[in-house]
Amino acid sequence: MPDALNVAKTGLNAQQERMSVISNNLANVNTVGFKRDRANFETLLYQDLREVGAQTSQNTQLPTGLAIGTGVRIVSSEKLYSQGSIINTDNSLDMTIDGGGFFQVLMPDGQIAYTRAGNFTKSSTGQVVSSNGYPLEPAITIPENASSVSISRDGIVSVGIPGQTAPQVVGNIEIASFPNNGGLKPMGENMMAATGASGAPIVGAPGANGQGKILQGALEASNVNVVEELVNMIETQRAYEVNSKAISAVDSMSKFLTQNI
Amino acid sequence: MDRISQVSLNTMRLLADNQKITAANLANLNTIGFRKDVNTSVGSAYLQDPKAYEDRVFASRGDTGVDTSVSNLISTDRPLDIAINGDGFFVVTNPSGQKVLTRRGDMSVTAEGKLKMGDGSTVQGGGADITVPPFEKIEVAQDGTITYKPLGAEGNTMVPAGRIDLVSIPASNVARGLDGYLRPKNGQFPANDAKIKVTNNSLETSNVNAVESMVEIIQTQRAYEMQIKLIGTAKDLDDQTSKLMRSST
Repeated sequence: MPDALNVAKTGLNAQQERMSVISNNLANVNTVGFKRDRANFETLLYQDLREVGAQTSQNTQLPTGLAIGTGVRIVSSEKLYSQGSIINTDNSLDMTIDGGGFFQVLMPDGQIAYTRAGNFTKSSTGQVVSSNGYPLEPAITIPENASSVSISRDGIVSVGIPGQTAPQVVGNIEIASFPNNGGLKPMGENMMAATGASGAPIVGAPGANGQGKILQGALEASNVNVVEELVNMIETQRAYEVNSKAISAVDSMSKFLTQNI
Repeated sequence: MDRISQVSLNTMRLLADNQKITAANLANLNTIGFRKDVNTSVGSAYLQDPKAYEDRVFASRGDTGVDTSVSNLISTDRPLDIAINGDGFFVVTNPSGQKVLTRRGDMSVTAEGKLKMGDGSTVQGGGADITVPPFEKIEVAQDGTITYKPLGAEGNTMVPAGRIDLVSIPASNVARGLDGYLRPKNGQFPANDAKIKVTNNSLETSNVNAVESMVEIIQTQRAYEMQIKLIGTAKDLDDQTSKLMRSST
């Protein structure tokens, strides 16, 4: 009897974890460049009560076995990399990747992190940094006396200097894409790290070789769809309720047993 | 001493198993492509004693089966999410490399370019793993053909990467293995069925019906209680008998 209790418990656990994935998505509905997560469920192993092919008599065999499931678990939470909607901000260092790929950011530990959040700003030295202050890779420094910054679709950053007629090129933005975006590891702060599962980054100029293009003065909104998340939330809640109902039914069976025998 | 209690005890064991199967179904209410386990098949066993009247019929376990009925599709807007429209199965290999059947279609691409379902099984096309190089865009056609636009390719040419193996197997020939994957009972994977249609950008939900399973749980609960009552009755009968013996002395 406690078996069924444990099976229903795995259901409660999995639904609870799914609920935290949904809550995290909803909490990040206004996070620039956020990609929503999806919880993937998987059945747990089955328990063999009667082996397939066991002899039922001298000449006959059991055509199917009796296998009883032991519940469910969350096998992975996967990021879904669909394009978020684009918000115009007219801020010269706000960028959106239109298409696939990630901005590269140099983390304090010397590693490269990848992000879709294009809300960059200038540091005290004029270097282009993320909203957390991590420098964009390859490094780009805007001269102090620059009056305007323009970023082309293919990532060329040029500045206007007062007194000069031609704009001065200060650097190129490069974009990295991966064979398997789903294998990137979220590190918080909107950053992703490359892993063995994501494959090595393919770095290139925006717009070339199928990389996304850069849109200046716009931000990519979170791709969380509030209505969809709310529907998922209701679905999860109901699944949680029926699983707890299973627990209470098994519990009252045990109670009845102990009270009446 | 009567053996009523043994008959009841046996039934209680079966009912406890049934409750576990239903609980496992409910636990998989949100597992993509999950097919419900059926626990209704219960047979009966007679005691073969030539000299005795066959008054005791034991309940015994029949075969468990899998309910292969088709479930609802949910739209996900993700090109690698696919679902089978109507009957049929995807052929995949489980993590230990065996060919199995599945209804879940939440594919993703690994670093090596292999297509995998959300549970770690590898998608098969023409009897081998399907591999796609880095792509800009990927699409799955209605017949399961995967086409992709390679990263950096000019124009809009889509390159085919293979066709997902889709087979139709009658429900009576589908059984579940201990790893939770479905397999044909006779071990024979039929040739691909060109009639099976795939819908892209959607996933198929689990075919567990919450209400139906809840009713099953309540039904099993009551049946279990009835068996306990029977054991109580058997105890009363025995008590009465021994009381009778005592008073007659």
